[in-house]
Amino acid sequence: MAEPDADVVVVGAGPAGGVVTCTLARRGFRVVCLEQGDWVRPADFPANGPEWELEIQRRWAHDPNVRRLPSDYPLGVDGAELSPVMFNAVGGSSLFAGMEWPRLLPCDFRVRSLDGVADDWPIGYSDLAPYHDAIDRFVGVAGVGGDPAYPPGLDYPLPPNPIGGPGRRAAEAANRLGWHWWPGTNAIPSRRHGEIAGCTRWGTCEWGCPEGAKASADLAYWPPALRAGATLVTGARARRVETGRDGRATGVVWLDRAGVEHLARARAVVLCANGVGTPRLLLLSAAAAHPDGLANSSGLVGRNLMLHPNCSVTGFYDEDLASWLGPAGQLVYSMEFYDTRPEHDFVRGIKLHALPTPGPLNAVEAQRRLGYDAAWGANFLRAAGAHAGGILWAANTEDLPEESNRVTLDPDRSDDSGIPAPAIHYRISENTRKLLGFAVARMEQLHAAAGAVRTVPVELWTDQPGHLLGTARMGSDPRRSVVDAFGRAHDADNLFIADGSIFVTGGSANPTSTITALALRVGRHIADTARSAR
Amino acid sequence: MSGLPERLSVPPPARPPRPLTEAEQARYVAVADALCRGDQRVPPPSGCTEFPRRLHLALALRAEAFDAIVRALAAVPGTAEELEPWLRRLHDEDPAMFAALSTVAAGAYLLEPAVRAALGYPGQHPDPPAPDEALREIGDGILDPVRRRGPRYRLPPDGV
Ligand SMILES: Cc1cc2nc3c(=O)[nH]c(=O)nc-3n(C[C@H](O)[C@H](O)[C@H](O)COP(=O)(O)OP(=O)(O)OC[C@H]3O[C@@H](n4cnc5c(N)ncnc54)[C@H](O)[C@@H]3O)c2cc1C
Ligand code: SF4
Repeated sequence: MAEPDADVVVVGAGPAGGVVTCTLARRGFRVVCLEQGDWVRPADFPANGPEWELEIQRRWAHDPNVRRLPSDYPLGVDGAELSPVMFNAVGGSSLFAGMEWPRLLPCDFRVRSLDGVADDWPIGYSDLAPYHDAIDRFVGVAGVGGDPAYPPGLDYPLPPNPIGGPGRRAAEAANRLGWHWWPGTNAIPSRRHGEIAGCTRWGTCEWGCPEGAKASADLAYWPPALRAGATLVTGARARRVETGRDGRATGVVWLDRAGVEHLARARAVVLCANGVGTPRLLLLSAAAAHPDGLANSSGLVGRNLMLHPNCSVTGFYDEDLASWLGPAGQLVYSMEFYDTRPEHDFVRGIKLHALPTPGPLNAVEAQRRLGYDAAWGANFLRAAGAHAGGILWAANTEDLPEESNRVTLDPDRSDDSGIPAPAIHYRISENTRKLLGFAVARMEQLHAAAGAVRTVPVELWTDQPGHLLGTARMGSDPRRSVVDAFGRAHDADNLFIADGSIFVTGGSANPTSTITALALRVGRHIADTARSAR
Repeated sequence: MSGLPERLSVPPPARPPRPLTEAEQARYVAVADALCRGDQRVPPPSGCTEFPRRLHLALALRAEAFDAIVRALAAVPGTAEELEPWLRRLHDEDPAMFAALSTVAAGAYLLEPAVRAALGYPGQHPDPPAPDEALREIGDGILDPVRRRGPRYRLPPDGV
């Protein structure tokens, strides 16, 4: 084989790719990362202008099928009850993430043992804890230690962000009901942390932070990775992973902005293209020796897609809660109904989080579904004025892995580079439907306990699962999993996956703290084993 | 390189396909007046001199809906009495059309500084908290009931 261009080629420059690249570059490896998007600067984000609420409806929408930027690829969603959302740029979807930063709980890793459903992970809570701690220190997670929902020892490097008027009111309601709540844990530094500014409460975290105050991957991982010598190629669309006669990865074929094809040769390849992009790439990498896709001898590549279906209840209050203030980001969260309970007619549970409701147009949009007279005509100013007194309670539900929920290649769609698009096949299970209904009822209860004057329930957010999990799951049995506990493909020992694809189950905690902890573990493992192999 | 987008992950500058004609604009202002009524604090859209300019900006940001909106404007009835029933019908019968028409009108009106002031909306802006604000907010015992209830996680059979 010709001399490789790099020791490692990484695909995707989101949090997973950022962590892996930074980890390996700092250990002296020559790393090239291919990213189909490019840089977005804090001054680019919509919240810089007063018209931001219109900007986010289409041009900066969460859904790539709506936004359709040159970096986006289409998603075939004809066979899906939900449209996955993501952002494609240096920093990936973390540019849009609220950076809610909960860890999974011990029970999440042992769902089969505890509840008799799905599968156990090959690792447990304590295996990941040191990686979480390292990531939290690196990115400057803000929170309050000692949450009794977690085993002892959980603490955060920075003091919490304010919970604000909405957080106080939400917390008092949880106390009234005797339910668990805790001040929000967010990867939003409460004061300057290296490259990342301290949060100044712009409140628009989910459409990009104009302050550069979120630990999005472009700020948290890429500057140190580039200083350590990593190469980041933007506008680079990975088309397939190349393999040699021995089945091992030899590099990645990619297209530049002008559509010219290149091959980045490497000793190892790490896929960090997220729970949709990674299985897409593995399926695109089918070859004579692996006609069903690369690393797919189990047949599980693309299967077991989990999306944490979201629901919410927005409550409006007769009090000025200054609900335009961030972070957003969770102000407070509740793990009261996180785990299985004998009295429920469903297994597993939900994570609840309360957020502010910035913007009068957003307030009108939220109330639009209550009917013409709730939002228009004589009541318009009242509906718009509700923005200041809003609290958004939202829930992630734990959808369990099902092989029929999957990513395949779409025979009818391709991206601007002519690469086949992924198709999403996703049905909400009976168990998840019950969780959604249960969550809405609990959030109504919280608003009632807090004295809301009006509530707007949304039983299902059809475009908001930015949590893309499970499509190349880890495990020790190559027949039942795609990668091992260190993200190494069972079928090709120099091919690794380090994003949400490798989750076995999803819990209902927002996943990125776990994704980055896993990515750090994968990155260190690659460095450790490559060194010993040499 | 010519022909290739300069920015891959940032939308291009916003432009509506064309300016509204005078007749279209007059109809849209009437629609906006019906949807977004002012009150004693703020004039309705027709009373805001900058409203047409803001409408132009709002349409630019929803350029994909421009053609449909213009089609709807062509069907707007001529008299004020007919307008509200027409809007209510559109709301019930073509929710997507109504959503586009109304969000552009409302979005433009809500850019008026006087409207924002009346609604107590300072706009999204940096407002750094006092250094002790967060700890003060939760330092009055509000977390005590949660702490008192103690640990609540379930351990798997093989421990943590
Ligand atoms: C609106 C929104 C809010 C969210 N809020 C939260 C939150 O509060 N907390 C939380 O934990 N998580 C949140 N998330 C999820 C979080 O953003 C993701 O979990 C996280 O970004 C995943 O990291 P990743 O690196 O695995 O994937 P991504 O961040 O999606 O990055 C993948 C990258 O790979 C690139 N890529 C894909 N395919 C190719 C290819 N073929 N060639 C080249 N490049 C490619 C993409 O362009 C992208 O930049 C949110 C997501 C969204 C969309
Ligand atoms: S609340 Fe903080 S993190 Fe969120 S957008 Fe504002 S400054 Fe950025």
